[in-house]
Amino acid sequence: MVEWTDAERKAIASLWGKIDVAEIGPQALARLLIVYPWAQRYFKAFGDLSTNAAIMGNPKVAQHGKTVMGGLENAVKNLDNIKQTYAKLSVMHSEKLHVDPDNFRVLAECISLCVAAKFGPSVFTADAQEAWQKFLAVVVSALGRQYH
Amino acid sequence: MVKWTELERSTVKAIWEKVDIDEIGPQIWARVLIVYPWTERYFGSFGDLFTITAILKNDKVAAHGKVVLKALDKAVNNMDNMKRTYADLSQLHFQKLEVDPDSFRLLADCITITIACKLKSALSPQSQAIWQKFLYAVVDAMSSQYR
Repeated sequence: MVEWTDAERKAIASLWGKIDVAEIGPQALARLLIVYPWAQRYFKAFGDLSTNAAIMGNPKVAQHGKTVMGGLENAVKNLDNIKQTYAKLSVMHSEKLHVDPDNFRVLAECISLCVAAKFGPSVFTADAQEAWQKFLAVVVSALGRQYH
Repeated sequence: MVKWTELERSTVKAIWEKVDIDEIGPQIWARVLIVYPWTERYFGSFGDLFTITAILKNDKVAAHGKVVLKALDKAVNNMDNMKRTYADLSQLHFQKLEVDPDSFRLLADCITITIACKLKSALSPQSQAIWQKFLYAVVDAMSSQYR
């Protein structure tokens, strides 16, 4: 089981408290689709993703970004039980959506970048980065856990 | 050889122009040691790295961050020739320093995060894509002499 120090728990809760899911989620998902364009294969139903501008203005991308980012709330509230919290989501992404689990890792990277860009070095300090990236690494691992 | 468009070249240069090596270098290096603490194994001679505060105050960490960023300057100025530019450095890291090449990827991650902190929304998604392509090429060049 993952061990969290008190400092890490505080850092994660503090960052989460400042994050506006409706702001960061859409940005992170748009960056995923722009920086790792092969990820667009999962979103054919989203309409126009043909240019960066189209992706950044696409309301379905924005909505889905909010959904995904909001889903992190479960992990924040269940730090000691992330694997079980995400078991069903993991099964769904594997068996129904057929998402390559490496996408979870690059999405996490985009999320971290958006958080860094939003808050700058005085809030997203080195120790905040450590706790946050450890947190996301655990989430990524839990989402990949049910793949066979 | 990696192909670069005019837009990619100018974007990399534009980002690099905003990077103050003396300011950013130490931050990046501290982040690597704090976020990926196993990398401390290479820096036994740097003194106190036992706490986050110690790492953030450590002069050798700061100095080394500047050294590494100065080396990145070479890549910005030799984008068409990165493998040759970094051949000696790659050899050094492989044979003498015995650095795990995955560390280069971790460093690239911290460089991007630190630059994002500094540039904020000016690091647009398109710029991010170009900057990460550039850093992957650097990581690749640094790994090129490993066998």
